[in-house]
Amino acid sequence: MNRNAVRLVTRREFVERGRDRGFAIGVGISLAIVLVSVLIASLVSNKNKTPSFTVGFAGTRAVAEQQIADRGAPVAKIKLTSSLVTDAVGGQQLVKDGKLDALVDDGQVFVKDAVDPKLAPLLAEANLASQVPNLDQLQGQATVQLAPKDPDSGQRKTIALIAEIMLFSQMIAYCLAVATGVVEEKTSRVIEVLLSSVSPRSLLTGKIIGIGALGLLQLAATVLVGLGAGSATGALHMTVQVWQAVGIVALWFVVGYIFYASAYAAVAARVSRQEEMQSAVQPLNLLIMVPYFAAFAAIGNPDATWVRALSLIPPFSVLIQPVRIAGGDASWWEPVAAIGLMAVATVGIVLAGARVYENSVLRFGSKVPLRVAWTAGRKA
Amino acid sequence: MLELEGLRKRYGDRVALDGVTFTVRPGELYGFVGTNGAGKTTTMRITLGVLEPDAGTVRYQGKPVDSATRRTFGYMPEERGLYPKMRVGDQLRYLAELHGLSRGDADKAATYWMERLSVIERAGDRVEALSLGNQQRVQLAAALVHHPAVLVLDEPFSGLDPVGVDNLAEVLRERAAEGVPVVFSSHQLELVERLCDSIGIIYRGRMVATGTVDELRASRAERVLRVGTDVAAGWADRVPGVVSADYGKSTTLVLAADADDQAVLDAARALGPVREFTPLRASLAELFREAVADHDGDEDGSNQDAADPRGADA
Repeated sequence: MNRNAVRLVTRREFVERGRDRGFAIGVGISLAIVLVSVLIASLVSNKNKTPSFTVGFAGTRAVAEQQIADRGAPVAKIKLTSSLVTDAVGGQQLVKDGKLDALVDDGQVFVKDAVDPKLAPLLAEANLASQVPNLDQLQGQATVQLAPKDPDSGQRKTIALIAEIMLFSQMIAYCLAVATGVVEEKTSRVIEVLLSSVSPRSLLTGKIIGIGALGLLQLAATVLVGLGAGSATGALHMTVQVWQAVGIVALWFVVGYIFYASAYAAVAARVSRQEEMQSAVQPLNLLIMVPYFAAFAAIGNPDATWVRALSLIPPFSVLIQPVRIAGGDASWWEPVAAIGLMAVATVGIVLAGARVYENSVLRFGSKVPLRVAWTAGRKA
Repeated sequence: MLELEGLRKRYGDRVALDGVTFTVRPGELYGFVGTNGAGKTTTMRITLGVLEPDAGTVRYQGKPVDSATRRTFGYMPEERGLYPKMRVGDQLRYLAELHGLSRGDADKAATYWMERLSVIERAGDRVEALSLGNQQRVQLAAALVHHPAVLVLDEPFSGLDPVGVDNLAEVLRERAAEGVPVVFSSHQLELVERLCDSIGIIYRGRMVATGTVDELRASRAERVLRVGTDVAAGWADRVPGVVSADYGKSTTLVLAADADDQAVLDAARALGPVREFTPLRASLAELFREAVADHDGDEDGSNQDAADPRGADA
């Protein structure tokens, strides 16, 4: 393999495809989809401009606290529905059931998970003001979580879902681009001119790298626009998990793309016309689509045994492992093992793909039989 | 010097090449002729390393060619091929760089050949937007753009108009004059005869004749004479050395290889006045037909399409 030749082929694929109008349109559409979905998400989450809360008051200072809170609510731009609760234990149950947003009971605030940041100052004010006669013994307020939940679990599921869709659409689009490119060179017969100056392996390597680089570029653009718009509109909290997810998607895209692209190139090399290519790559499309749909089922139940198992097995791991972002309790070794296994499988498929490609790419006409593609080398 | 020695290639049970051997000297224009499926394309593909032979070697300047050497060769395949959506100039620059030219040199060479082959004003157009004739010119430019040390062209003249033919012939002569061995195949035998220093005739995967046209003529078994005389038909039937005679306005005689043409002249003059006495030079087309006929049927049953692995288009 000639490194300079690989570089030239890579550059050609990158530049020629990059300035193709179809590519620009594709990127434009995907960016538009990201922007629109972020916008919709932010509109949905900001719909209630005046938040309303239902709060129960119990304990010795209940009446005073209720009055102060009711008076303070309009100032804090909150719609407050308050009530007196005589049975503190029953009140806590109401909180758990979601019928009350909070129960204030003698310096303690009972909530399911967390006090809404808009409500908290009002309750604190009521707590303190109700103790005014006893200025010396002012008690602070403590929050009691009755049903704490993972603070980001919703966001994590969303991230896993988006990661899944991006991985799938990027991978299938760019693998098909590789297949189309391989067949294009056969159909136009430019392959013969090319192979008089570069080896089939250099050509294939350059093609996969060049198209893959374009795929990564599009992925980066989509992520940047999505994250930028998401954090600007407040639809997305930029946590460490978000960045982890971005890293995971990029890593799996690279590994998965190399794996599938080699397979697509090998299959495409056996046919001579684009129409034949469509049906030839059908089994490979399935090999991407089945784990993709399995991944949707997995997002709802990311810790199920079958998800854990598939998330390790190549090539399913490409689309199933990222789902475990949503689970959050993957052991450290799981992604490492998944990537390791996938890397081994990728090396295998690259070697096999290159062999089939090399044996098939100069055989024109009807589809090259698999036996010939595998055994009958140019050096036969 | 480009030497092909003992090239053999089989596709399954079909024998495509059965020991092809010939030499193209520096500065020589070598015409490679043969029937369809005789093995021309297979030979050229092997020369360029696009195909691996089962046996035999290709040498350049005495050394077996490797991929680095082959990158200095220029090739125009029988099936024309360029990226249809790539711009003409970009395409030529890309191919020049693939053959090892620097970016700057590739740019200069591409411009030179686009000017030389009159496609410079289409430099920014996609190849698919060009007429077939212009695509052919770009294809030629692609074979020439890296100053090849050896030129191998498969049917370069097919599809060119007479101006294009002259233009290409001039370019090939010029390359040869610079010391480049040039091999091209063609079915236009008059053109080959006019242009080439040496000729190789391939038939069913074997070289059945090689040499200059004169050498090929000298090696033929029979000679043909035209004799202008008014003597009655049948006059030459019993003249020694005459194999056959055709009596028309003038007489056309086929002589055996060892016949004495002066004896024939004497015999004719003895019968009457002789207005014309011309040895007829066989055309390449005749030499070709004879060479092929001589070797017809001496074969192992390999079929006519043996040279073509593609099956569909023989």
